[in-house]
Amino acid sequence: MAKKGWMIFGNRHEGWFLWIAGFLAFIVTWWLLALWVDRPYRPTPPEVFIALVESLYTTTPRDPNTMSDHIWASLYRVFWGLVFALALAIPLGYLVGYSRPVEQFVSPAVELLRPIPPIAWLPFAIVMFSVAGDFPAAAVFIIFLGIFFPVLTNIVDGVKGIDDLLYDAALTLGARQRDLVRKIILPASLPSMMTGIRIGVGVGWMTIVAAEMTPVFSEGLGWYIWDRAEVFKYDEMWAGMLMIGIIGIIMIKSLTYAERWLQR
Amino acid sequence: MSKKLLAVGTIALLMVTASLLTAGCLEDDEEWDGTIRVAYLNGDIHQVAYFVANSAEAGGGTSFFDQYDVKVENAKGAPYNNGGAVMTAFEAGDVDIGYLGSPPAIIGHVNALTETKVIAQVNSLGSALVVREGINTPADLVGTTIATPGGSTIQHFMFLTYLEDNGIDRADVTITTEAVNLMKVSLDTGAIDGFIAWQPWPADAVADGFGHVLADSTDIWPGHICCVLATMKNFAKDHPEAVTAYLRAHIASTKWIQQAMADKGSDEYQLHVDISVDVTSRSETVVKDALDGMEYGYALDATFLGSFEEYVDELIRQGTLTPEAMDEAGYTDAADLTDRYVDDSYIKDAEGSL
Repeated sequence: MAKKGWMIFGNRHEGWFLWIAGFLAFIVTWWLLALWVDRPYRPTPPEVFIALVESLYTTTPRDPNTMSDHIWASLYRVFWGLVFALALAIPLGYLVGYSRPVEQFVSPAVELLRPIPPIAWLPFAIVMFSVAGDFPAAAVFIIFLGIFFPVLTNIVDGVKGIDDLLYDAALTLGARQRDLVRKIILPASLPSMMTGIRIGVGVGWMTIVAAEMTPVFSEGLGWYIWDRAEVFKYDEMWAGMLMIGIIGIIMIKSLTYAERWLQR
Repeated sequence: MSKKLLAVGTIALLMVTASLLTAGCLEDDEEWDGTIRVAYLNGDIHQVAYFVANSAEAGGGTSFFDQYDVKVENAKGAPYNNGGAVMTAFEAGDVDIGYLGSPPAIIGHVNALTETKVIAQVNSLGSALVVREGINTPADLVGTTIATPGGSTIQHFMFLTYLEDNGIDRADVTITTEAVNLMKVSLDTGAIDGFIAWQPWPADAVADGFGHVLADSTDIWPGHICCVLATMKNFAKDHPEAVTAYLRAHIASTKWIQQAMADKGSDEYQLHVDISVDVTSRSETVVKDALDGMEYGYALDATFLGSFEEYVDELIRQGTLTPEAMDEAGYTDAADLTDRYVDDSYIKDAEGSL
């Protein structure tokens, strides 16, 4: 049987084996580097792992929040940023993708604003929304921008990419406008939308961590990392960085499974 | 299959090798040209002794550095935003002698194992907590956002002490980090409700009507030591004469400042103010206000050592230093750290030879 792609062992467990091998190679390289440098700013994997576990439930008079508290603070901001981004990007994306006049009207603003990194909006967000209130409006705004544009552009591309023959066939069979939306546009553009959400959530997550390192936040994973660096607790700093990666993986994998489930 | 395995293995080996080659990064082994790289903090009136030592006018025609044959230059990243940044610069090999607060000098040495030592005092007191209108008592701080220059700074540490001394739960106040030169603007826009910083930034904010002083150094921790001079152990070991010469200039400039401060009508006082205005880029009024209550010194005497040991104890109690970190750094307790980390041999040599 012909096999697709480049395989080493040629069996169905190869993927898992390579994943584990790659992970172990990463851990070994990290460990070797830490031993080579032998300085506190490059702790070994066990030191980071212990710091990560302890930080999940430990507080000090200096920091009354556990890492779990900081994680929830960051995720809370991402959640609301995602909600607002989807609430605007999905309807707007379908409208822009389906209607040429709407696209022509909206595209100047979109093309101008899209390349601006979300973090560049932070000074404006701080002044506009303040950071002192109970609802983290400034942070949510930054995340909103990070998620909004990828979702919008992917939906637009998804809608515009639908084959005209599908529309013709449906109309020939007597489909009405709402049938076109329900039975052609939404299902056909769903993969693009989910891709946009996956990219947007990744961007939003990286953005909020960077934003939390700026001197206006006092909690969140980004703040945790910066704070630990300021008092040279490098094992805890690295633990925070590792947690960012772990949560990022969980988010993206969850969205991937959600996409597969929606497409069934 | 074997060719593929060989290819994968080769790529992996190349990646590991590249990582290892870049890991340790490259120490600069050039011979020392005799110039001491000095670190100091942004607009910090505590550290004006460095600039006085560099002033020909203060030295009576020749600067104190020149008089004692000391060549200095500002370290690469100077001025630094806080003492933690100075300790990081020490670790990176960018600084030979640095002015910084005692807490970051302690925290960086214990937590990051940066091989520094404290060789002289620079000043005591000289910080203040400025808050917006409407905050008039410590209890009013509950629910507010207060900025400090950084988690390892003396101001951060003092603020935590202030909260505790006034029965306020740390969790009831939001503490954020900000560069000192941005604190006034943040207070003005309402992004923060107050800040604690080294002078003259508190005096500057009050002079512009952006708040008032809720507490200063004397209220929070009477007589507390503040900035110190630190150097890398290896630098002091390799160049003891240079370190001693530097301290001669430091002693001379500090004594000059003490005399100037003792007579506010003197030309020396006015020159001190002028130099401080240049260092801080603040007005004369602000600088004079900031200098009130400031004390400059150089000695590593019993008062200094007692205050230093108190800091270490407090840092351990606050959780910034842990017993494990102290143990890894080779210290049994606060007294042991104070005894071994503070090295008065150079300042005694310098004083004896003046």
